[in-house]
Amino acid sequence: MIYKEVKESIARRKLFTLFIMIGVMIFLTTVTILIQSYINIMQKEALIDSFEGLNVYQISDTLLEDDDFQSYLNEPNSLERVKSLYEYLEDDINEKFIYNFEQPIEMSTDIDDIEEEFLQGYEEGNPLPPAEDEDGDLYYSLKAVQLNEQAFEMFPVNLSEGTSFTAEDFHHANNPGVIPILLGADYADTYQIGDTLHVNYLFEEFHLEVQGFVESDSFVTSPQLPETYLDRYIIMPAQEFEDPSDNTEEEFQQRHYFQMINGAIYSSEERNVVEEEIESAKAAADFPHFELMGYSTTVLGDFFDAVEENIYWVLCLSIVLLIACSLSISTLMIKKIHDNYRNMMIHLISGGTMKSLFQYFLAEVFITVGIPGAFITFLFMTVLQDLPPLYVLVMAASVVGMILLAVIPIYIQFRRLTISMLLKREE
Amino acid sequence: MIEVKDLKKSYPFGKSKIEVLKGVNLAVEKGDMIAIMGRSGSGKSTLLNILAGLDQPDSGIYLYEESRITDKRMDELANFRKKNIGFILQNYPLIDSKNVAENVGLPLRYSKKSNKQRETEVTQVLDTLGINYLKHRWVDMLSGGEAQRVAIARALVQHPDLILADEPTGSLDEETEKDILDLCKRLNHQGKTIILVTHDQHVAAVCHKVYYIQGGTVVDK
Repeated sequence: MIYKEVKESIARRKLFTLFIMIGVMIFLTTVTILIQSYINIMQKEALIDSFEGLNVYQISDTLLEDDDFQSYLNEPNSLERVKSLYEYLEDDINEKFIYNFEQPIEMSTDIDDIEEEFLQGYEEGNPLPPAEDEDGDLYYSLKAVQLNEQAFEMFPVNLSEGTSFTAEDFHHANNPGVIPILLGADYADTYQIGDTLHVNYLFEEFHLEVQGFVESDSFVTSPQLPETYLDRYIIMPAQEFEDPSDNTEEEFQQRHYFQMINGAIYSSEERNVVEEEIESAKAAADFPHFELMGYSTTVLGDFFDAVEENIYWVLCLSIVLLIACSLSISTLMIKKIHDNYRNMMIHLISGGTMKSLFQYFLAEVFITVGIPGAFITFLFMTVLQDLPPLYVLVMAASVVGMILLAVIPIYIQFRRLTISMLLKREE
Repeated sequence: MIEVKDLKKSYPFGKSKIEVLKGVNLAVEKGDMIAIMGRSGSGKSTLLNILAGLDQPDSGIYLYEESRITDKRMDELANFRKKNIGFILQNYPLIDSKNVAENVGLPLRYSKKSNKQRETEVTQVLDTLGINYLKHRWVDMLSGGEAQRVAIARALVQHPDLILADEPTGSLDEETEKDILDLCKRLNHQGKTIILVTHDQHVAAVCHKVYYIQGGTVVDK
């Protein structure tokens, strides 16, 4: 009986009901966005905490001109001095020295064996074309990121499978020519733990040995790139090397170390304190071609401030939509009550009660909110598969909240409406 | 069958109250056909609504078959209406989103009759009134006379002993009015007790007794 009455009532004002249902769907979509944003923030909370109150100071060598660079390399002990500087930054400086650098790795492979999404430039819609060596072999540039030990400890790079980097993995000593790597989650279908990738890194051949896969959606941050998601990346430890055995290796190490000293210092100290630390490092390593470039609050902090600001606005929008939808439903229902005195009378003389009439209106609100609620929840559960089970609970609470807000004015209207009033109005 | 003693009813009007019924006394025997007349706003419909168990008086006693109706709760009143009362509202109101069969069968829905029972009983009452051909027609396709017959069919479908009709021939042409009154007389001859509220002397003339409501009380004429 209730179903039939509700069906007839909805059919009488189809368009308005449709309008409300669309409103409910928009509201629940904004709630979903809110939940997603909160999940995003919560997942990165540990990272935000570790950056809390820190300024980031970008540091760089000053040998920007090729002549200057070559001139330095011709100086005695040039490699030892730059290595010494790196070791000082890694071990002796009182601040966090973070080296997080994107450097593509070239791998000789058949393109059919590798997904295009792993190629450098894929996200920009412009994957790098392969380079060809003198033997005619094609080398594809794969996205890779290097992290020094402090960076690896600072970023929440958790593994879904395999073993993480140990302190030893940041020193290229035990297994020459082999570098342990972790792979992004999207590589899980392509490689397995123990597989070896034959690559060219800074014009030197290496074997990269897969020892684990990082969890999906893991990311690292740098002043240049607030968020680098690792799903499609090779993650390499920024390794320190023993003394080179020949000129070729020396040249490789020069390139490698000059790359590694261009990191960032994260500190809660003022600039002058950090500058003093840098001066000490320069003096200790006898490497004067080095400076503090500038500083800012942590980029990630700014990024999340912006995200939180967005969440605030989405929350405001949700509240406005909740109120607007609830008011629309109440208004429609109260209008229906006023338009239906005659029909309500017919129900009353046919054996109905005010309670049964209220139940019809209540059921209509349930259907008007419940159907789009169930549809949107099911839709997002299907499309966004990583939603937590709590999502259903939050959506259900939102739907119940909207129903309650909509029903209260209708209930008050019914409380005021006695049969006598109904009869007098009908007359 | 019906005994009403010192019935009073008032309605709020702004901050004050208007006393519509000021101590109505009335007795109706089984098989009676009576008319209640009076000016607009005299309380005719209010009295009828109280007799139907739709409204409760402020004070006084209403006995139906010696059962005290004035003490009943709302759900008990709904049951009382379902079992005993057939109510015909003025201006032959029907629910326009339902067809004739659905309108007539509505009281049977509240009595939780099955689809089959409803179908049978609706057909039976429509046959009795000679309007079975209207069964599947939508309400907005009916003439005034047809709509009033359908409203009467709805009032009769539960086989009530008491028919209450509020201006049953209002807005009808003379010929249709006569048909409806003939129908009322026929129902009365079949044993139904009928109370009509009307301000039309022609309608009152077909009844056994006529009562007037004046100054909030019932006057026998």
